[in-house]
Amino acid sequence: MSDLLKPGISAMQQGRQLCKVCTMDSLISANTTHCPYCGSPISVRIKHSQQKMWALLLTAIVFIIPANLYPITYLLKNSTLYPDTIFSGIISLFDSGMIGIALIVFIASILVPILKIVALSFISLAVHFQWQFPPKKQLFAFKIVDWIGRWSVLDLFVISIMVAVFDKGNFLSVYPGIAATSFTVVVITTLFAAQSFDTRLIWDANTNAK
Amino acid sequence: MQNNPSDQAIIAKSRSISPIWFLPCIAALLGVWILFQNITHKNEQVTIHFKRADSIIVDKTKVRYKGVIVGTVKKVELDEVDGVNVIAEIESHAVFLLKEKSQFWLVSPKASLTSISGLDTLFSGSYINLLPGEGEPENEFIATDEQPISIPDNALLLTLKSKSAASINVGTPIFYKKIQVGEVARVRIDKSGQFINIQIFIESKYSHLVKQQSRFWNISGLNANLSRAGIDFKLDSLTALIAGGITFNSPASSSPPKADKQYQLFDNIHDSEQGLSILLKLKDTHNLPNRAGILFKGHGIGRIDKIRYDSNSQLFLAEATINPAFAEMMTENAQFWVEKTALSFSKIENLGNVITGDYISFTHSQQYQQETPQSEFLLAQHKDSNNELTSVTLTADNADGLTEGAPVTYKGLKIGTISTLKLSKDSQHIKVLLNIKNKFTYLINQQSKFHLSSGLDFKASLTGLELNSKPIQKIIQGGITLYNSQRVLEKQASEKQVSKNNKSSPFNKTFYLYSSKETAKLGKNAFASPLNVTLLSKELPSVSVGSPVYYHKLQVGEVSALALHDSSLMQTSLKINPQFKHLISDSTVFWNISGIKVDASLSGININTDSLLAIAAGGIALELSSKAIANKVSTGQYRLFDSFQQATNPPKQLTLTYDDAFDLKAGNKVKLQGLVVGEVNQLKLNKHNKVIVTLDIEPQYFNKIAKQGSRFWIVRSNISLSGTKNLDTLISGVFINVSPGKGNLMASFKGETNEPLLAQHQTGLPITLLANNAGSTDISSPVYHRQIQIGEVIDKRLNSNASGVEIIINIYPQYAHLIRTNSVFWPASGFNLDIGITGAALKSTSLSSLLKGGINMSTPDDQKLQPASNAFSSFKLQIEIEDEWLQWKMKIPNGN
Repeated sequence: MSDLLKPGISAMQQGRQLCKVCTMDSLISANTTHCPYCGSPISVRIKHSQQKMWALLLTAIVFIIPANLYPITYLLKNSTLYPDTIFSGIISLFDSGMIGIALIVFIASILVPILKIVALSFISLAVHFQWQFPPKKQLFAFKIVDWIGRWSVLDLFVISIMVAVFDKGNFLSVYPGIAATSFTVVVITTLFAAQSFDTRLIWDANTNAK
Repeated sequence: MQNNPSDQAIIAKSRSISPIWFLPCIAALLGVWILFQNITHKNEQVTIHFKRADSIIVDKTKVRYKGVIVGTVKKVELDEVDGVNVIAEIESHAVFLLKEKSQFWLVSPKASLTSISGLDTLFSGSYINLLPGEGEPENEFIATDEQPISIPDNALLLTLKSKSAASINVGTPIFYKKIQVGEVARVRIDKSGQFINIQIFIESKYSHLVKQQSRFWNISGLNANLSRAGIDFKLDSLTALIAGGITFNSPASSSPPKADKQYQLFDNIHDSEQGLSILLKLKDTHNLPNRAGILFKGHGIGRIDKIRYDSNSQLFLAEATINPAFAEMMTENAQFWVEKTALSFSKIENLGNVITGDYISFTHSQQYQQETPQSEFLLAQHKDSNNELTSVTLTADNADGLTEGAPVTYKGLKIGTISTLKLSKDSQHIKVLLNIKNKFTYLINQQSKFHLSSGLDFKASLTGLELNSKPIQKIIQGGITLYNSQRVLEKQASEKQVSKNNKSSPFNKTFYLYSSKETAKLGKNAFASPLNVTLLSKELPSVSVGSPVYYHKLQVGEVSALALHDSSLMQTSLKINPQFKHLISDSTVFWNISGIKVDASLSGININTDSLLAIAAGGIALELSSKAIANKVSTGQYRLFDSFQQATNPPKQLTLTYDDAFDLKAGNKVKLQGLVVGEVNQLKLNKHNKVIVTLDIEPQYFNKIAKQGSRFWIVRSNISLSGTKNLDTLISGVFINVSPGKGNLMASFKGETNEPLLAQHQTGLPITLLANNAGSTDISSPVYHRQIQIGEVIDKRLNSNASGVEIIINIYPQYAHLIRTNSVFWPASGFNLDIGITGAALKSTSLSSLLKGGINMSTPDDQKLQPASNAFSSFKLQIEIEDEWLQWKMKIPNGN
């Protein structure tokens, strides 16, 4: 029905768009709203991609503050409540000589969420302001963030297990704190933020700049 | 159309806003709210100064108020001067508690006798407790050492004054009727340093219980009161036992306490009772216990509080407190005296004092209502005897059985007491002062006699003993009895009628004290000198000078001297007390009663002792013998026998002559049919080297035994194959058995060493058997007929020319008829082994005969019955047994 797409130039520049449902490409000009093959709604780029990502990122940025400052767990031992923030937990792990674990927790719980937010913000800003960064490196960074982001759920997983296991009333119990909720929000929002970002925009930004 | 771009619909991208922005908005709102919360609820940092920071852990140790966690220790740092500064973060909601007077203290587990506190901190760790106070806000505090007592709102605060803070601590409970109504809040020494000020609070709901006249006293938990009535333990609450406590009572009709009223804290409930203070002067404290009681008719009315010595008057001054109810009796003529324990045979008084200590008795004067009160008294040694008594003086030889206070009785009725005992001026006698009650003085006249009350009346004679005892009280008390003979009484009655004034008073006279009623009857003679008696004996009795002389166990005198008499006998001199002179007559026998007589045998041990005194000191007994006994030696002195038995019933002696005395010893028994009839007195060798054994035979058996034909033999243990006999003699020693004869009386016998063969069966049929050798036949070997023993071998000897052996057998009388002139005898001993072609045959009689040997006998049945054998007829002892003999069944009728 049409010519093969040329490599080296983006599909948008060749006037074609991809249906994410049936993976068929079609002319942008002819089919502005729906896929001519399957009739699903179609758009050249993900709608409001930047907006969505920024909204979610901002939410994450807001919530990452209480997630790190407020206690993530409460340990009730002999009728006394011992709150633990993420950082105090890492320190106590470090103090008790478990440096490796402390490092893992530090990376997974503090470094990764922050890096995610930073990386996503950077890429998004680079797209928006059409900074001339190599698109492949940007994509690589995005891939890493996308891949590593799911591991942040580990913390929440551990907390949920601890809450379930250590439930001995006044003698020994673990309760989740505010930070746990905040942290969950951070993890979820960053996940969605990464998902809502359209990586093709990186190239768009580059071509536009030229 | 194609060229006109305006014809084409321009699709413009609308710049719409994604609904996702809703999310960060909410997040922002939340963030702002959290921020706001953080700013408004800022935690307050406080610094608490502790002396030590034991068990305070940064970030772990909490600050609590009423159990609520209001903060956390954030930092512990050393103070530059002293102690530790603990920096704690108090949560914002509790900041209002931090005021100038707020107090902090560390709660850690504490176990004391009264309580265990802070136990929870054992697990949760110590925490800092916060007690809010008043004043300006403050954030630097100094921790208190202990938990401050929290005085409830509106509680009544009181101050008690005490001399010591004995077992009073902060927190010591205050009880009212055993219900805790308050606590000690503070214990402080007052400025003078002499008293302890104890601040207490009474909870407001109980504050109405405290009155102006309330009395507070200390209740140490345990209150033990030892008294004659027993031991009285009072235990207040267990808490009070451990922690002490204060209790109080309040008179019902009393006004509420005035402000600033100070109460005194008494040591105990008794102290809290106010009373009249009096002063007693004592020459001697009589070892009065501390807090000795003052009793009035046995009822406690007060106590001695303190005894001090006054060097000016050289008297002890006892401060005493008297129950106010008895205060009016403390008048000038009131008497106080010491009641001491008196423990004697005549009386036991105030035994309770041994436990409780002596006490002071009190009696008021008759008309105390009219007398003036007095508060100083002289403590008397005894109760003053009043004028109802009359004194009588007695003279006694000794004070035996007399004690002060013992009763003076007349016909069993107490008419007075012994007042004092003292030595007479010449130190020879005892002066006894009696107090006779005035209403009985008429009983005493010139002829009255006094004697010792003896508890026991003793009448003893050979026929028996009569003992009359007065009530046990009398026996124990002793005392003095007044005795007026009938004649005197009559005379006195008539005198009384004639003139009452003319009578010479008997009370100036000194009476004698007789030792018994009998001597009193005798009168003054009883005081005559004692009777000297001289005894002679071969050996000195084991007595010493002063050893008692008894008549039926009643002491009648004592040994006065021991000496060697001219006749080389030992001389013992006795002093018989004069009142017993009548006991010494021609028929008096004396014997030695010293020590213990032990008769030990297999059947048991029999110990016979005289009085303990006699055991210790020895003694001599005397008795009036009805029988004519040689109780005097030729020179006229009395003979001293070894024993009562010897004295009254001396054994008769007979002698035995033995070749060999075997194991015989002096003291071995002589038995007649198992009954002991005497013993071996001595063993001697005579000039023919024979042993002469002298036997003491009890008189009642003498006539039976000492007869011609009596046989005496030594019974010894005998162990042989054929049996054991008299094993007991191994232990109890051999004895001499006697078989009485029937002849005339005689006293000298020839002893035998073995049991006479005819002992059991007096007579029988003696037969002589002739044999080549004696074989295994032995003396006492049995003679059998059909395996029934019908006799025994009594002797065996060589015949006159030694060509054979004569065995003398005795056939028991009841079997004598079995021996016929044609009877056959063969040895039953051992066994017969017959070995032939057909085999071996072993013939043996009974096992007994196998061991003991023996002789069998039978009578042929193939001949006519022959006449019975005569005594001492001879038979031949067959060598070989013939089987036929065993088959003989000769019927031998008895009686021919």
